[in-house]
Amino acid sequence: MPGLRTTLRFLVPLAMLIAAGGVGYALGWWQQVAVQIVFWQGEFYHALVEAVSALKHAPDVTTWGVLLGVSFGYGVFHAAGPGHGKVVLSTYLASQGGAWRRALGLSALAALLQGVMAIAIIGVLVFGLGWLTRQAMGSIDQAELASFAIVTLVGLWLCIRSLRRLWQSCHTASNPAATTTTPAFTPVATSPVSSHSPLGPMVPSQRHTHDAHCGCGHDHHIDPRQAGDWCVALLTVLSIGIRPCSGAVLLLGAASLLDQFGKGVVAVLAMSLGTALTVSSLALLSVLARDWVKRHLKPAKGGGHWQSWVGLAGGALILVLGLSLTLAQWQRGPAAGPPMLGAPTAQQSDPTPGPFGAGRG
Amino acid sequence: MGLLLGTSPAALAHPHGWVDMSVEGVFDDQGNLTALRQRWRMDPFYSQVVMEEMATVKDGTSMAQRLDALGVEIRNNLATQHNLTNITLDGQPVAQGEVTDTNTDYRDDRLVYEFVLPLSTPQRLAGHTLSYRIFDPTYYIEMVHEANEDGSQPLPDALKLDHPPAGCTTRIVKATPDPQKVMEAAMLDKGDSGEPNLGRFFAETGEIACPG
Repeated sequence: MPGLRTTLRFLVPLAMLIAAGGVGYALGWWQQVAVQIVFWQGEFYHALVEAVSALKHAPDVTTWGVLLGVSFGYGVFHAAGPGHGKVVLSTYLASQGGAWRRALGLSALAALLQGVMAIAIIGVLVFGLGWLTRQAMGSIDQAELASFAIVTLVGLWLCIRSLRRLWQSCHTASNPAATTTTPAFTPVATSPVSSHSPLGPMVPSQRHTHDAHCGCGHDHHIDPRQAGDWCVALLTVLSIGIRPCSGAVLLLGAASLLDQFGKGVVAVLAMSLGTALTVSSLALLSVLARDWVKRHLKPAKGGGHWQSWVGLAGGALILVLGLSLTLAQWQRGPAAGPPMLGAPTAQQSDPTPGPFGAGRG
Repeated sequence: MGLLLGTSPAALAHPHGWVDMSVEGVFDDQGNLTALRQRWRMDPFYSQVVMEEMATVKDGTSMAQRLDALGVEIRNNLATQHNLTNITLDGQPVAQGEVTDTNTDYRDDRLVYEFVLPLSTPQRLAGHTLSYRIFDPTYYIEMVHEANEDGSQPLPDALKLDHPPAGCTTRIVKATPDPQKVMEAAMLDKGDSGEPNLGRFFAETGEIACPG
């Protein structure tokens, strides 16, 4: 029975994966890893500060190398920490389709944008507008709110798109001509990653073999939807990249105060590379997981519907995440700064701002 | 996908700066512990950022006066949070008095804040162990005792005693956070700021013990 065998081929590895995950969870491995990452972040931050001072006193190949290495490592582990960005990106990739190349591109772009935003915050607010570094760091709060709002927008957009596709495919399905031709669901027909599929490599021209059935829910490279597709992809990138890491902003601010702004910029870009490595690994993982599920859970009929339902679920998840983050941030108000100094004033409304006047909370 | 999502949103905070601290247990003539004298050295980056702010004040005050004002500000901010210090005697909480003798200074590219934290009543330590933990609950700032070059071992000078009775000893115990509790706290235990209260898990413990 081929049906049973296919089901088993899917269920057995899935069961093993879940079992492995369950055992790992029960043994507390992932908690240990998470706590270890927190320790490492602290150590990397120490090393980063020392590297900047060392480079200031003795700028040579060694100190440059240390700064770049430490910045890169900080980026890697920092990205392994908390963050809605990775949830949004992996949900987006897992539910919306797209090739591994796109996954890599989007995550690299998002990581780079984070670095550029940090540079822009110091460059524009501190150099341009004369804000204090601490005030500029306070502006990360607004960037964060913007980020959450964009996440909501991405979720909303994806939901609407999936609903529209479902509606369209319902109408197409009622047309007999559309249902009797090619199989409704070809594994990952949209993406070069399908070269890993049992069907063997696909040359680009083959991707468009079912252009006649544009209601089937696939992304097509020549589809007019493509523009909107890229738009939402870039919006996803923006939602992740618009909020810079406060560590990066602090590094740049302190570096510029030490007349080392250029070195700070180089360090932040190295940090972005590290972040890109972590985020793109995660992105790749979600693309691989998605394709694996797709290959093994090939529905006999209604494949287009299945794809759209997954898309809708992903969009809804992102929408809920975006809404809850936005609301939580709204209710919380500005984030508290370090305990000794109270919250920084976000804008320089006063030429001599009462620096530590704003108490905490 | 479910697996990926399940593991992602664990919101673990992490420090964005640190304080190197040294503590001195102050004893009176009767051999009772009266106070913890503390010195906090803010990390170089944060010190830079604060000094930038100090430099922009244009009210004709001298830098020494501004640093004094900063010290008052810090003291007032910390007063609302038990000075980030948690003291116990044989596991029982010990009440604090009001901070005195604050001093703020800028030395070797570091902002240094010194103060004396009195115990509300002097404690007789003979046969007892007094423990303290100094930490930022939100773990925005990592508070560590002054340590050696690579940060692996606290320096002996990081916890000293001033006029102790004979035989009193000190010890600094590094944090060994229980990963499971940290993760539980990361997900459930949110402080006023909305940040998880993780600092306590990563706090070092200083101990002062005197023979009975």
